[in-house]
Amino acid sequence: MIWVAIFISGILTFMMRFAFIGSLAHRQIPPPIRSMLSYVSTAVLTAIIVSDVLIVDTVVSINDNPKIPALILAGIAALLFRNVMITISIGLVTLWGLNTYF
Amino acid sequence: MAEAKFTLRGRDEFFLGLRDEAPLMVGVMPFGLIFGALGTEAGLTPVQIMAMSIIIFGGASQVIFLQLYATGANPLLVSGTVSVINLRHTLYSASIAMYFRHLSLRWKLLLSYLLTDEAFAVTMRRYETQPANPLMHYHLLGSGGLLWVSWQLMTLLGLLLGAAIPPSLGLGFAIPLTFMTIIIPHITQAPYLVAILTSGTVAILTSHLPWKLNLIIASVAGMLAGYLAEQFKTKAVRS
Repeated sequence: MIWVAIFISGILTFMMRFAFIGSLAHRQIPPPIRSMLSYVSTAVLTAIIVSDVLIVDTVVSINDNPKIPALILAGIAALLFRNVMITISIGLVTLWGLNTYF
Repeated sequence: MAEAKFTLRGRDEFFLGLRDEAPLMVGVMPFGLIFGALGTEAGLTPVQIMAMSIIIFGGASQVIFLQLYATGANPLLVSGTVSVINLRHTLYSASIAMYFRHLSLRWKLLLSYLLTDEAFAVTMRRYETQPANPLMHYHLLGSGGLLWVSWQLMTLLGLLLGAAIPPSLGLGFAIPLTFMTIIIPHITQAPYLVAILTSGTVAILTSHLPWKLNLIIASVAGMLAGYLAEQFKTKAVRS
């Protein structure tokens, strides 16, 4: 079963990458669709972050969740420094610190 | 003679692609390592984990694939969720297609396969700031190729080291952190902020649904909200 999922996922992902480079190269994407697609990655990534950090086993977990302050601190760092390495380091170090001392 | 000159420029473009892509490896390499380790943890065989990195070749979607697979979701639902997460690649394909019109089908297939977030970002910047030249597709071969090799090697390293990385390190947390570095620069633009707030809220409100359906629902809601906010903003500016 896992192989079916791997192959279908791979084929669909490739088709989306190939869509306009390959067969539709002469066509333009309609402006409303283009505009919608520009928000896809932001929306998807936000959903993944929220699910990963706030939700533990389908239950929203806010109390005693050290990932929340770690994420907020890292978010501030991301705004200030715009640097992937600094952001990830601050987030991880905060999480370790909170897990160790609280 | 003209041919020799063009060969040289293809190589130059290729190395430029490598050089432009290199700084982004800071985020990509730990991500690949984590994916490899998570795959082992989820009970996949090394061959299955490597096959995912080679066949799907899309970081975020591979991690979600693992999480969904662990919940016992059926293959069609897993592929459907992976597709929603990778939907943004159609936009990359549409944006970059005009530069590849003259290429053979073989090149188009190869370059489509290599079209990921990070490679698209640096290669598109190159295309938008440089005058067109018929060999500029080598730039994507360089940027995408470097990303591909790094991703495969780090996946392999991650699945080999998997057991040696203690879960208490919480390295999986590096994944939402990486994504945050991608969305944070957008939050100063109102429609993006609306997309973020909507997607986040909907993801929480629908979190009780099985098979991570909240991801798809929140993604679509966030996308529509961003679009509507943009329409509203444009109209407000016009009137």
